[in-house]
Amino acid sequence: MKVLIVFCHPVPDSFGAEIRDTVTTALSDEEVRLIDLYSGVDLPRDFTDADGAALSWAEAAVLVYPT
Amino acid sequence: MARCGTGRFGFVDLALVVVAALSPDGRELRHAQIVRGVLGESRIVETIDLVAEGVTPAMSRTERIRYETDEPIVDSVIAVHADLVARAETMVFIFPTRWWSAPPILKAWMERTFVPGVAFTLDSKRRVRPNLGELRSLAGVTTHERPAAIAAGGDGARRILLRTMRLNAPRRVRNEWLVDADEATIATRIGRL
Repeated sequence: MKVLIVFCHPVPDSFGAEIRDTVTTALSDEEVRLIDLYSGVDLPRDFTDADGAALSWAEAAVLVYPT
Repeated sequence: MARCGTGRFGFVDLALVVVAALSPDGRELRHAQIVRGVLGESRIVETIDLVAEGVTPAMSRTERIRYETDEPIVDSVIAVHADLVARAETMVFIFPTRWWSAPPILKAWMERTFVPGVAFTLDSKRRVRPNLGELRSLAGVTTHERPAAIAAGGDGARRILLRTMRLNAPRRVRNEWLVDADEATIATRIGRL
């Protein structure tokens, strides 16, 4: 299955990042793409055409973020 | 009724109006004019226009890391805002409902200003203790969402502001919540605070 993981947390070594890694490992048999909204920068980036394409591509999505 | 004249301790009470002016038609700013006028009859009114002040609609990594420290406020503009929050007797939030909740710019601002040492403190057992000692009245004015749509999807902003934020006040807090209201209704209901 095509699974899109969307991850949003500002701190690279956060508990949220651990959850993202756990999810990724659990889905290792699937075709996975990751969108990291902070992606190593100080503030989250804007929506891009590539994000839209990834949403269209995905059959399932997992959102990992703090409430 | 709001305390008139000189108020408690010989000072006039402070009302803080926080506006997320995100709608292209300028509706939030027009509502803010009405609210300021009504509150100004009995209080000193300060307004924070989140868009005009360039508030970033997400927490940065630096801010998130500092949040866990004894000095959670990074930005000098936010420090001024937090001081107003700490002193406010009345707070009114004016914003469009987005995704059945407060818009990101307002959430990010609250995350930065309603921090430990301002909105609440943690006791020795790390339990939350209210710290907004002046707060008596709280209101939300939300635009651009039909009441029926909010009834169907839930009102996250109301939950955040009225149920949770009131826990930061040690006393009972009078409140008003206005969804897609006309200006006459806004004036009447804000006047009750």
